[in-house]
Amino acid sequence: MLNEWRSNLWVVMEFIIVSVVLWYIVDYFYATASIYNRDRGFNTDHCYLLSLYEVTDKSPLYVEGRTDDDKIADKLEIMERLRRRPEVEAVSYSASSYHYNGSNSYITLQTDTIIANGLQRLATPDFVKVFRYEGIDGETPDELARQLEEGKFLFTDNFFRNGSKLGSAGPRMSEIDRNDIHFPDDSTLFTAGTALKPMRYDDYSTWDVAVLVGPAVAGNESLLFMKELCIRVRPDMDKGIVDQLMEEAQSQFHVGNYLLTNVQSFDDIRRNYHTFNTSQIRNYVTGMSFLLLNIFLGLLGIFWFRTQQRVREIALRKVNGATDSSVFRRLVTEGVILLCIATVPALITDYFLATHEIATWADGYFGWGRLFICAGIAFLLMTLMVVLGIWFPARRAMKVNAAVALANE
Amino acid sequence: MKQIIYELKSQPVVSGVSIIGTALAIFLIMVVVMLQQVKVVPFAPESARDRMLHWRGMSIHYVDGDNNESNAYLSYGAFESLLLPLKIPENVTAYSAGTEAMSANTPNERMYQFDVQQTDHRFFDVFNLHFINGAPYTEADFESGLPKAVITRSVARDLFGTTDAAGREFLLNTAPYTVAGVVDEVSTLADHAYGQIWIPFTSTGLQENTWNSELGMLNATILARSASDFDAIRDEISRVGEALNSQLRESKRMEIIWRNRPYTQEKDAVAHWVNMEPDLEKNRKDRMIVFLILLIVPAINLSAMTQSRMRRRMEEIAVRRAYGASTWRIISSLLGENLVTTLIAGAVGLALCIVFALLCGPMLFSTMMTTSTIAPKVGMDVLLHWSTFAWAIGFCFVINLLCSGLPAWRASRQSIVNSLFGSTH
Repeated sequence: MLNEWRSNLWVVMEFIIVSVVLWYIVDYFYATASIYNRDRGFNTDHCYLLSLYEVTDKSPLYVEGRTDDDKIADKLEIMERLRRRPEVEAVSYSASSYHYNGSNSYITLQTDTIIANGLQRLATPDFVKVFRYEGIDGETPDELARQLEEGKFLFTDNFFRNGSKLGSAGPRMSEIDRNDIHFPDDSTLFTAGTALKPMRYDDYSTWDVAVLVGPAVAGNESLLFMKELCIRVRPDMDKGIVDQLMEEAQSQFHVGNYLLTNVQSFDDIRRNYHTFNTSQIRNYVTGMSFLLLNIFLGLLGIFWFRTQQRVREIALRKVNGATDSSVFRRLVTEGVILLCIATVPALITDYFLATHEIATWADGYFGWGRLFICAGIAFLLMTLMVVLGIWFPARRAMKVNAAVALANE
Repeated sequence: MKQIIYELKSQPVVSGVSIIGTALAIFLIMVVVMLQQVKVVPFAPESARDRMLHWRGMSIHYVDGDNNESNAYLSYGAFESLLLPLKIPENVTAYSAGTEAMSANTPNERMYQFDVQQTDHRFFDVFNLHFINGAPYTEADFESGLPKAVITRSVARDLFGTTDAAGREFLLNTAPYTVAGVVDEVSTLADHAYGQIWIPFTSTGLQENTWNSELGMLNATILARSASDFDAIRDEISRVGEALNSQLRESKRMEIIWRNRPYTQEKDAVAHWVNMEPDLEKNRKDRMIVFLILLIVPAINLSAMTQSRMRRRMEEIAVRRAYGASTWRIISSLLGENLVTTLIAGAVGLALCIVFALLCGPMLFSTMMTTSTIAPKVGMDVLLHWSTFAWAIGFCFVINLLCSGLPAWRASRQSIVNSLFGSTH
């Protein structure tokens, strides 16, 4: 092994670089997967987003003289027509609120001395039924919808946790006076309903602070700003719903100046919204496979040559009683020892990178457990490649005919 | 050449592995290069990308109070007072920030959803959409807000069953429009020019949809006569802008923040948010790190293999040196031999990359946070730019130098006596 120190040095250097890069990627996957698998706090299966277009005076369909009250009535009529359909389980209007949206509005509220802000979801009560929100103590969507109707704000349990820069040390919703909530510059008091299980912003994000407000608080005219129409369809009646609704768009869903122009499944909305994340994951997988393949090819080449050079040595060992499998084992062990040597400086580099927040995915924290799990996975992947790469040359070495090899001497 | 072929043949496994390794490295590096290329190299209808400066987003600072800022897009008013008066550029155009999905149909027929880009009439002078029927809407159409539309081949087929559609009528979001012209499809990769239907924004009143006098819903592109005018254009903008700002400070207590706008194509490609200036340097550095890793790892591998091959040739090299060949001469001949194999492998890698991009392009080049659900179309015109080849050859040289430079240098300096006696360690 020492005889080959020069080429071994190259191999060790390669192992160090690859092992650091692999750790980085594995760590990214670890963090991504651990976030992805957390409870999302909402459900978009069998949900659809309907686009209502408001016809302008450029169109022959334009009806003149609709007042705001007429418009609200028109919108509610469309909602009622949808609700009457047997396929539809729940219907809601909302503004910058549906999940996988990318367009947000924020609200700042105060309780006692704590000021906190979060995502504001302005929606009609059935919004919680469409996306199946749950209370922190298992309250059902129906119960939550009732509270929105009564004019209560529905906060996620953690709304005031980070308020006034308390860094997760603030109170939970259960620990505050639910009748003492107001805007920082206004003394009108609001009432909070049941605390909600936090809904994450999207599949790859940990941010989950929000509050739901209904028209009972925001006023009926807030319906005019609610341009999003979402429905939940019964699971067994999901098929063909998009085409059915679009077929009836011009007859059933054209009320006043509102016209249904498009129906999108939330499965598509979700996939499109996450394009950036999924393409990043794909890039990392490609990079990782490339590096692993390189280790395989590199070792294959180097050890192929090495066994060729060392035919005499192998033959001598065989003459002295080494079995085929012990020759094989010897070569593989050589590779694994090199890998182990490389792992030490690689681990130090990993630690340096992790503590200097270069890998700041997930919650951005550093943990020994996480470092060792991820470095361990990287090590196993590399071991696999080392064994595979040495396999073919080692098999060739096993077949060395001692008599022929030594006859050349 | 004979020597190279002989060498390759005498070590089939090691040669094969070297070539596959090099090809693989070039393949992956070129994929990364192409991911960047599609964002910056010119292709129709953005054929003049290297002469374009983009104005994406607009930021306003309110003079009273601390840290009060608004970020959105340009209003047509701001475009008219800031960019339209410019003298140095060849042309400027304003168009909606991003496309909008609208429904289109012919009366009593099925509704389709298409991505609509709202523009001024200058748009068609800046971006060279290829007309197969009809012509763009004119300045007069734009000024009077006439409902005229330019549509792509596929939209024409969906709506009318033919591409011969100029002059025909259809309903766009229920309002009647007349087809002015039909153009070839535009790839979503051309993200400034992209659309399936283009209409004058005066026909929908988008120019009146503003937050205040400066913030609205538009982006702009400046077409310079040549890239060397960029600095002069920036100077001109800051002159016009400073005059505008002093007015705004007086009358509206606000001023425009520049964030070094307008951006070149390369910088614009990394501008994701309107409230901060894109960090082009960091983007370049990140890409360099990726290139380095993709180059160094295979180079180490190949270097170890070249080293092994060199060893077999120690006697030959020693003989050559004994007959008076200089060190430099031996190094260059060894490097040259190796370069031929690297170039062969590089060609294989590049070919693989192009095939891969054509097959998996829509998946590979998917753009971030697009409002369109249409996958990008990737054609040869996008992928095969002369700079693609330049990059590929450049990377081959680097790989070659990295993997055979050191072994060749060492081989050339080996003691002749030792080599001839076969003591190679």
